[in-house]
Amino acid sequence: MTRYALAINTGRCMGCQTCANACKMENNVPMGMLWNRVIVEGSDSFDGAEGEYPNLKRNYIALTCQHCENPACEKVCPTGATYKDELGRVEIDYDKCIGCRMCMAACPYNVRTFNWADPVRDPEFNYGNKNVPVREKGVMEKCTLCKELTDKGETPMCVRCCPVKARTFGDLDDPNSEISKLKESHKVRLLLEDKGTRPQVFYYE
Amino acid sequence: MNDMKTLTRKPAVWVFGVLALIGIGCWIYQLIGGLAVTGMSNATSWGLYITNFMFFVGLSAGGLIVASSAHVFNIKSFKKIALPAVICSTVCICCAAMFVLIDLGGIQRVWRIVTGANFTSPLVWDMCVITIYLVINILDIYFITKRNEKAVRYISYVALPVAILVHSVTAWIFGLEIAKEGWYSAILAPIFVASACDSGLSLLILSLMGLAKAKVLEVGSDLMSSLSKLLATFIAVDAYFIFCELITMAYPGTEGANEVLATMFTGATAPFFWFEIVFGLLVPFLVLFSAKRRQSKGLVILSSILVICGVFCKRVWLLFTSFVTPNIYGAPGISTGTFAAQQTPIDMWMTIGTYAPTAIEILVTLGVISVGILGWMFLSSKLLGGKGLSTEKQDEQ
Amino acid sequence: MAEKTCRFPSLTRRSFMKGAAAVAAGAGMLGTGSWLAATEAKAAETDDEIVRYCWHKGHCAGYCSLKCTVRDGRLAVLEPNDIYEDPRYSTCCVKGLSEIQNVYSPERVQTPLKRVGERGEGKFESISWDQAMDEIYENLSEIQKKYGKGSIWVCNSVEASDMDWLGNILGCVCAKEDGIDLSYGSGLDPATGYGTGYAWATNGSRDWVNSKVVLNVSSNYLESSLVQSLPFFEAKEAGTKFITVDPHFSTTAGKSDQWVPINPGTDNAFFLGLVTAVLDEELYDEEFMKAHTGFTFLVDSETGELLGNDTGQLTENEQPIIDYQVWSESAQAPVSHKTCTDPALNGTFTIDGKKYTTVFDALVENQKQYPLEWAEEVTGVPAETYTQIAREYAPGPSSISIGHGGNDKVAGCDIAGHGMALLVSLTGNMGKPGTGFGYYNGGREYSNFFTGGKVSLGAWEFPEDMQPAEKKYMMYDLPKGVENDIHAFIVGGNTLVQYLPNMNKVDEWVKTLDYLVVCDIYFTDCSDWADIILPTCSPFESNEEISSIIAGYNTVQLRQKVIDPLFDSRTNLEILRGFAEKWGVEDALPESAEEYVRYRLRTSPNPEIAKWTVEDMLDHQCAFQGPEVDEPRVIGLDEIILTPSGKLEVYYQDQLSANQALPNYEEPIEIGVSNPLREKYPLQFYQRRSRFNIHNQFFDATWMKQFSDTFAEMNPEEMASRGLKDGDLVEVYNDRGYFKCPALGNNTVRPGVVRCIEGQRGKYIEGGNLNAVTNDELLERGKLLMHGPVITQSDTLVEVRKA
Repeated sequence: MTRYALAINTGRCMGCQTCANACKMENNVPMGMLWNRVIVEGSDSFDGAEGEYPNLKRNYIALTCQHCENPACEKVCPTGATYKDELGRVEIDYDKCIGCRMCMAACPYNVRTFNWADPVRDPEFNYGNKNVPVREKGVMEKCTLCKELTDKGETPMCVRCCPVKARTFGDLDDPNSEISKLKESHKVRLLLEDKGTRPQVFYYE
Repeated sequence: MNDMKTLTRKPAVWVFGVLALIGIGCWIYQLIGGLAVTGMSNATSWGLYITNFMFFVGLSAGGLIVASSAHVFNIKSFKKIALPAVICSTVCICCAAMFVLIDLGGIQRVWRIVTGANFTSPLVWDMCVITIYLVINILDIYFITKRNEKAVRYISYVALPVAILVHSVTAWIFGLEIAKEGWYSAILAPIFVASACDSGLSLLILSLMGLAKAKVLEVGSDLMSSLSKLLATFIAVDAYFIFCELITMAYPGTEGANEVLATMFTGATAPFFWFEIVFGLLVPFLVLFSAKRRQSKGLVILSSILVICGVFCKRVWLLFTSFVTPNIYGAPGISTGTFAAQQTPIDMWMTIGTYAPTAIEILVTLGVISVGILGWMFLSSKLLGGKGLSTEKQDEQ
Repeated sequence: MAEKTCRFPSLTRRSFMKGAAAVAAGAGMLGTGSWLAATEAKAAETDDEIVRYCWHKGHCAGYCSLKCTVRDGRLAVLEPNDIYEDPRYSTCCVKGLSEIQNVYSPERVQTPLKRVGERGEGKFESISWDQAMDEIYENLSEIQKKYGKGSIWVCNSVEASDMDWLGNILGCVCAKEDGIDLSYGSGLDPATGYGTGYAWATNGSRDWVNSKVVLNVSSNYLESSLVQSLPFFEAKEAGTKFITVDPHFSTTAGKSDQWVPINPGTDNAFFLGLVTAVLDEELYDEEFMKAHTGFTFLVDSETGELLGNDTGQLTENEQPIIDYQVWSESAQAPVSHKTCTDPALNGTFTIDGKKYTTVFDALVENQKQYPLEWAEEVTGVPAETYTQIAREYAPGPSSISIGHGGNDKVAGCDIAGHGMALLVSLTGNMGKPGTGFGYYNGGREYSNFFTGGKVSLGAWEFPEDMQPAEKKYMMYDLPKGVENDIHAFIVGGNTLVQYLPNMNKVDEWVKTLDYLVVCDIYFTDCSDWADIILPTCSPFESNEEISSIIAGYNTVQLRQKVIDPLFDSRTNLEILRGFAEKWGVEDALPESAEEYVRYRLRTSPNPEIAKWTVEDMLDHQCAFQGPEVDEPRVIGLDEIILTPSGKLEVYYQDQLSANQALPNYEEPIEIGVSNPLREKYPLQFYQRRSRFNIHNQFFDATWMKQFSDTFAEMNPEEMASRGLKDGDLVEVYNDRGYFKCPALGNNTVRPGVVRCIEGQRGKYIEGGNLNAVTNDELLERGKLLMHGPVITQSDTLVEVRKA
């Protein structure tokens, strides 16, 4: 079996949003939404911090689909548009999506984005990987773990572009993979572990 | 045809007709522009439509629960109102279904739910249950009008559990989502059923009053009194369940629960929460608790209206409270995907979920409700009015 | 349970942009016919994808080699060049990726434009290139005839440096901004003789891994050097302690092991405090001081002059070589520092009836004015923190990293630089792995761009008679009314607005110019003044298959054409050739970009590189690494200490008249705590660097505007005391002027400061420009500094009110 996953080094992540735009470009993500974004945990303002000056703490979290082993979104999807594929990724079959947004309510991570309107692209053409399907109004979309790249054994664009190599992509089922070793050797944080979704994306410092 | 003529003479019909047409127009506009014409966003992904969906399923289930109890438990006095109750129930479930369909982003692909149904999805369960429920309603109406008491009784045996189920399943759409602190609760289905009973019964009382006033139906004061008494009981049960839910949530004092409770008690949804507690539960209960006050038509009407408004408010706080603070909170927040987000990139974010229905959403909602009222008027005048059934005759069966 | 509010105001920009719609008015005058939708321009009709390589930007010192996929004639995918075996060299950042949109931005200048309204009104009409060049020639040649060749000044941004040839073509003045980024360095570099006032005596940032401590002062390295941030984390993970001193909780402060919040503009007091701590704790390295520093030089107790004999000889840089005297312990007499093997570090000596002391003793005496309690009061940094930092820093090996965007732009920052020179001279933290002090932007690894690295390319030679005219003025003096004979400017980029403070004065001055030509890709504030605007291309556009070449980071990179020039834009070389034709010197220029690229390779001073051909490079995805690319840059003592005496000349005798022979504290001109103006204008106005921009670049990029926009950032405390809410349109003002933009609370901003991202476009700000309020006063003693006074934009007080 294969369980593709991401490891994110929060010690390194410096909130530069390169992963956000790398993903936007590769996946032809329209304006007004991002599949992948970096937030400052607990902060009210962009690049702010938790606490009051000067007692401040800042933790960047690069937030994307957690590709859960027990995906809440998959269970609630009425049409099977959202599915867990054989490579361990949570994917969406856009042709099946009826836009009910059950998955959006079910996802504890707020990482799904919906095409509320006809997508607006700036520039006004389909940029990014030509094999990425173009989504229309009324369908859900989210991180596919760069399906079109990882299908071919390549690395997701966010991982390739991260300037501080804070992201690692790999197969958790392969004990020799870098990501498995990272998981083994570090104290790992899973987001909202108590929700029981068993995220495959993990964070470490 | 006479009924139609009578109906079209009523100004109310024209008002609701126009509202319905405006609603349809707005819906078409929404189909063209997408759901971005609503106030929903990636942060608050359900809005007025789903609120109304919950609300109308409740209204519907409540009506049918009362109607079918009449036959299941052989409560004779209730049998008179079985037909008006089922009519209410049918109309409301149709409205509920309309709200769900209107809320779909890709209604053109809705057939996928039939061809590729994923049976772990509460929405699929709900679709099945609502369909069964609608069929039962229609059969019920058919057999009541055919005065087939036996069939009605058999149907009632099925209808009662299905009515409870239909609202439970609706509750499970929310109550099974571990993602949302304010929803995920075993008691959500009982709460839904309880509030279905009180709001549905209130609606039934109001429609009986309306029918009585229109002289379509006579409703004895005894019946009214016992309905009111039942309503007071339902309110008490509803309030009890809500209390159970709140104390269970508050007691451990977890961070997530605190956020939800803060939003409910003092935050964005507080006006709705407190309205329900005070005017939706406390006041009507105190009014209807007294047998003397139950005699007052005005007070019963007032209480019924308050209960319905209260339950609507409950739908609002139940739904939205859990959208306010994301589980993983932090700026810049959630990319919203709205029109504004498409136009001005920096405006794409929400750190907390905010929502206000747009005019389009409100007009579509009014349109659906108008269609419902028109349907109710039509069915009532068709089935109850004209040479329709007097309660006496029905009684004789 | 505190109620949380959304910090991002959903305020539409349009509502308050109306007033600033000057450019739009200009665009309107062109008629829609010529104003193509960007993506319609030059899109070929094929479905094939082609891959090209293009290095991106220089001014961030990034030089990311980008792999560009072109589909249907459009730039569709950008990714890091994957030719490198070590993925650390494959870089690209959020800015580079945004080029997908930015290249096609509707904010681009699409055709040559001619001013039709008043200067500054922003009304233009579209004209042809022929007409533009005719008019430029007519006007500029007339000016040159009337006032001489040197009456035209060519001033290009760093990103448009190749346009400097205009100085050769026109024989006019060609110079970049004066007085910028030179404050720290002008206090630091005289001690070493290294660098040119930019404080560059650093190792590469990859060498931080060898440091015990990196003291990072006034630098937000993780935002300003995005693609070179990896060494920061590698060092941190290896145990290097990062201490960041910054008034604000910057990204870098947040990632450091220790953040030391400090009062803005008090870096000089901070370094004086550290020097005191080193002296108090006796953390100095006497051996190093005796061997390599001028602490042993004898100084006249009365006059403060050093005891030395002028040898009458000059160094290569024509500095007089002075034979400084030190006190020999064995001889008990003054001897030349060159021959003395046992110089005294302490002592008072009478020589020829005059009292002398060592520079070190003079320092110890001078520092008595600056005890730690004093430093604490001025800087807000606790006294014990100085001792702690001194103890950790001094043993070394340790590095000091400073920035050019922070305290450097407050008057008197040279004193901090001088203090830093003392600190490294006292502790000997230099000239070996793990040490370094100065400006680490761009990793300072082997970036040829700034330092001349191990790989370099040939430079185009112009004939003797085609040299730029002599530069006679400092640019910042021109708006201040210095008498001059400059009548026209040719500007590449937004230079005039970007660098000059007190914009209303600049505006008055620019309006007196006879002619102004602006070459730029986007409409900037500067273009509003232009008589002619010439549209340039993005790095991705060319009419030739090979468009340029660059050396940096021990790597040579070729830039291929990715897409055709959009609209009616032209490459820099095409524009230069246009000028050259008019001035009749086109033979002095390369005929094509390819010819120029081949020439630069062929004439490389590195014989190894000179062997490479364009074809070789194309085979290597346009990026060739030099042989020692994996070696972090480490500079030795002999490379750093380039003073005539060969010692660290920590005593600045030439600044005696300003009482700065040894660093003495001075308050900033305007933001100093004792300035009575503070009552009226209590806030410092500070322009910060952001990871989303390189100066004024990327402000039009909608992909960037997702994360960053024009805001006046303040601590929530300052917001509350002024009754301001997030998103409120506020006026930031002082006696010099004002600008308006939305306010935004941010708890990482130090109270007492209002902060904007530097380089913002005026068109997104009501009332003009951030520099409308900035301080143009020059430090009186600045003329004694290496390059004269420096511009001090952040030495500005303002108040904020609801607009």
